[in-house]
Amino acid sequence: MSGGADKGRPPSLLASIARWLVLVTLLAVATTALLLYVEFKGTHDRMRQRTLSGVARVIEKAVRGPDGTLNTTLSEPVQAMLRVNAASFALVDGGGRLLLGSGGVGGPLDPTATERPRSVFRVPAQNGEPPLYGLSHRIEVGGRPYWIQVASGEEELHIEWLLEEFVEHFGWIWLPFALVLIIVNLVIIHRGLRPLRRASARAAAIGPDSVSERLPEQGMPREVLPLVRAVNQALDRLEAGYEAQRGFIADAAHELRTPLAVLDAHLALIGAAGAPIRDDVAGMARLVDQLLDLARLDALRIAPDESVDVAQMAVEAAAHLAPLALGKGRLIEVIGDGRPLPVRGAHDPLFRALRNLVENAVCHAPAGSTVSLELALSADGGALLRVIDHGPGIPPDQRARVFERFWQGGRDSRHGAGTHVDGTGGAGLGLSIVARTMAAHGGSIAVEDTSGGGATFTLRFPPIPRQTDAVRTIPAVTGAP
Amino acid sequence: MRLLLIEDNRRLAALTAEGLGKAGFAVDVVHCAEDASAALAVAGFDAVLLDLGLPDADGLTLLSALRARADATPVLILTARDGVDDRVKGLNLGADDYLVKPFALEELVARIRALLRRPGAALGMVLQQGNLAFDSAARLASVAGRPLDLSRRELDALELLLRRAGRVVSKAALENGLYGFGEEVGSNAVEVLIHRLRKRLQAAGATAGVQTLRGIGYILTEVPAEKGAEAGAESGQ
Repeated sequence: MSGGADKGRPPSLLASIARWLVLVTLLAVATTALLLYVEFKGTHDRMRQRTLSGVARVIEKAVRGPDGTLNTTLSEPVQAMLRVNAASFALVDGGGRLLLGSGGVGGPLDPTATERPRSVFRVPAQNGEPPLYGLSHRIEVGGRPYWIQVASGEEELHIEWLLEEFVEHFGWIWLPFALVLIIVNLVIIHRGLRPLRRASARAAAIGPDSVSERLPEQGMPREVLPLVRAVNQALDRLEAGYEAQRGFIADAAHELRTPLAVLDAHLALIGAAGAPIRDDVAGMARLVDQLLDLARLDALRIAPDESVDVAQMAVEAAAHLAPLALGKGRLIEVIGDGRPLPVRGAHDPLFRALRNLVENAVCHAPAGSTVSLELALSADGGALLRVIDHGPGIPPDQRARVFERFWQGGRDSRHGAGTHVDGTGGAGLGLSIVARTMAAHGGSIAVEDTSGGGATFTLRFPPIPRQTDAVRTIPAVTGAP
Repeated sequence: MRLLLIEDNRRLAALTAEGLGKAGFAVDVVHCAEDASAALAVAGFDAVLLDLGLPDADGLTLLSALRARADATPVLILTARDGVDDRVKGLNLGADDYLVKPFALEELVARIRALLRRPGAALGMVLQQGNLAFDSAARLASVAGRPLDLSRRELDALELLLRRAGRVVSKAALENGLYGFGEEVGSNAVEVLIHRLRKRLQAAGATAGVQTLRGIGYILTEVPAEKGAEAGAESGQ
């Protein structure tokens, strides 16, 4: 049954099973019919022979006269009985001559019968007469042999009628059985494949961000389990390779730090001449930090009860970057009501993300301006953090792309040649780190224009579920001055 | 000021030592934990700069051994590891500060100076930022050698800010440092105090000034002489 191998379409297990079931059912119907036919036919033949030999015995009794004489006239009751039971009969002597016969019989029914003591014979159809089936029976009367030949119609119609009867009255019983069988099979297979569908849904969700995900082995049929296990083991090996790759990025970033420190120390000793190159080294160091941030982000798992106070973290990040901002002649401020804004999340990745975002704002803010971190509560109860600068802003057509890795457009258009002098110019990873961190926390980041010019990045956190309200974060130790 | 630099990268060690030498420190350099233990056993150092990734032992082992001997020498960890776990472990084992590579030499010098300024480590030393100096033993502030007339609270605030010069000090930290428990503190007492201190520093022509960072805290930084007044005015709003 290869009908399912249509061009381009994978074969269907269900269709193939249905086809085989139909075939087997038809075979079963045919076999049953054949067996019934053979059985009926055998029974019919035996019954007919018994009837014929009974008739032959009646004739024998009638023709056997007293004292070994042959009686060739049959009594009325015997004749009536013969009319009912046999189509024709004949009494033949040893020489093949007809001594007695039913109406229309002009000679021995079976001319060869005299050669055998008892036999079954067939007379083929001739002159419009139906074929006959007969029995010849040898008797001895007065020491001489005679043959009584009895025959009846072949009655083949009998068998056909039987088959028709069977098909009409019993054969159709197979039809609902076959249907029920097919339906039950389909249902069993459909149910049996359910864990497989679950597994494929799970497999579809596996990506670079969820390499530790595995296909469920629970409830998997024994027949499919080896495949699922093999896939899971393959995923184990892939995960190990992926982790190794990730570890390599982290290790490489770590290893780069010492030579960068050597380079920077060397340049520091050269004095003023080394200053421009030191800015480049600082840029490289920042890129190394961001690579590490990204590698860590891949491994980020947030425990369900992990909670962070965004308000406190904004103050921390601002305090952390204040020396840098002041060194560049920019101010930094945090605007909020001093109340904690707890969100579900991991402190360090969020802090690093915020550091990247504020650093980006500080780098793009013009000298003498202020970078503001504004805390608020959104309508749905989630925390909002806006990082506002008064730099050149981001053109609307580039807004979707600023969160991509190694995005460089903004650096050139927003900052021009100043980037290299900064030394902390965007390496193109900072904003993508922020976006990925927010996504990992179920939040989002968006950018719009600051009124009066500049860029405003809005971090949106999902509202914290009610039951975790009990997890109180430590109130900010840094009060608003 | 004598420092012990424990760093297995010889080039980095040599360059760092040279830079620190230029900044006025005497530096002894060792490249492994064994040499470091030997050096610490025979000589006294004002501070130890410790790399965590040493060839023969983990730097943290060396640190805990040092603290186990009740040696209170300030230790600054220099490392390429910046995981919070590493940082916390280092600080818990008794490190005084933690600097992640690659660091700027100026930052290292500033951190070492801050370490040496800490009470306990060197009581009675002179804290300096720009032309502003504070003698913590005599409790005397001066700008370019001329004494500054400051109130006790102003002096306390100045000392707190100078000890953490270049870093943000939160309003809460200032309140805790300046006012005792149970003392009545007006909601804007710190603001008023800092405002007065800033005015006095400006008036004296100090090249260090106090910046107010709204919502964050206060920071004392060096400001170029010509920009001193400007910065003061800017943050005074």
